[in-house]
Amino acid sequence: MSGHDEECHCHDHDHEHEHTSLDDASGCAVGLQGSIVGWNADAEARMANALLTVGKWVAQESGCLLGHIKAAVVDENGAGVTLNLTDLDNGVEHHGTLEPMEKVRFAFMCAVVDVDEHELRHRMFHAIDDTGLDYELDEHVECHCHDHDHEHHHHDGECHCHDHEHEHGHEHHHDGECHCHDHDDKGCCEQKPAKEEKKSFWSKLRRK
Amino acid sequence: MYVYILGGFLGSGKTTLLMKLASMYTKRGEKTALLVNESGEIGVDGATLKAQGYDAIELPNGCICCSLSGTLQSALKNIKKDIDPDIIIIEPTGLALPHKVRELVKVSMIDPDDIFIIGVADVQRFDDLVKKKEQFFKMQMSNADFILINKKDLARPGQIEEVTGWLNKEFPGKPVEAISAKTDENIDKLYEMMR
Repeated sequence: MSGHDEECHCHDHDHEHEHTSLDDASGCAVGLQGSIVGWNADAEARMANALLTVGKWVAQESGCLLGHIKAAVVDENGAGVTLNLTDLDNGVEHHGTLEPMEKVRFAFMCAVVDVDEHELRHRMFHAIDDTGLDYELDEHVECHCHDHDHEHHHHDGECHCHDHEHEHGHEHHHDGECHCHDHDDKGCCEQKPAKEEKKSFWSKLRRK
Repeated sequence: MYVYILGGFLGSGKTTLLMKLASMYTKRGEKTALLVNESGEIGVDGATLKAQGYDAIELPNGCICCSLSGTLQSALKNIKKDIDPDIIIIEPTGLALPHKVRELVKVSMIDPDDIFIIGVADVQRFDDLVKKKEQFFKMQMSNADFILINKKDLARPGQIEEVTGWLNKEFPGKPVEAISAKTDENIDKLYEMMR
């Protein structure tokens, strides 16, 4: 059992969601960060294109781009360039400059409304992936739908996607549910009927 | 010490305005502290400000009007203790409710002389915003001490008048000024409105 009182608390957190202003606005915010090898003007244009790709998807999904899509690419001192997309007609605004260099850090963030957060994360991940940049994310992104792509996500040519799973057996959350405790005490949760998988972008891809 | 809260929807130009105000106060010789908040776990505004030569305290991964309310109060106390600034400018997320931030500042024991909310409205996306998120936008602007119609440089002919009319109707008596934080259009008028 995970709780000291010998009761199952596996799903307690599902019921404790704090209502926020984000909920009031039907908004969501997603961020990715990592590093890019080989930064130059071409890389900056590719990065800008990733923002535009996500912006177009948001506009298509929600009817218009109400929100903010932005990225900061910085050197080891934190100085660099920021890319900003708030309006598709205006395009991506570039602020600051960053000289070509071997390795830079980046943060890519979207705060928008009326889209599914998991799908947004997925779109952002693929927008970055499709740039052809030699990048590496700090945190593993929970998408295995394109496992064949893994080879070029890692600078060392090895796949580390599942390294952390081997250590503590956590499941990924493709369906937006928490399975963190599935492994340690199935008994307490067995009574609960399995929820039908959400018909999301994830499941569509997995069916392929 | 005066506290300014920049309230406005995502992408309305709050960060650009923050930089302008920070520069203005620095030129005036006022010690200014900047506090920026972002909903996502990864903050970009802090990097943006740093890249432009500003130092800001970043509060990412939540909203200071609700989920990060305790973090905001701790940050304010630390700012007061460590920096003791003349001015604190707070930029909440574009999905925050500024009046809630004001209430939190009031009870954070930093004892400001006054707290102002500057409402920022994006003229270019005003129609879409009102069409899709009118109630939320009204909540954001309702307690503003004055409202800036930002991105004046991008407005189509007659649009500033339309938006001003809408705001005057919804918020009678509230001062409204059209500016461009990016091109500095009417920025002097804004500076005159600031303490």
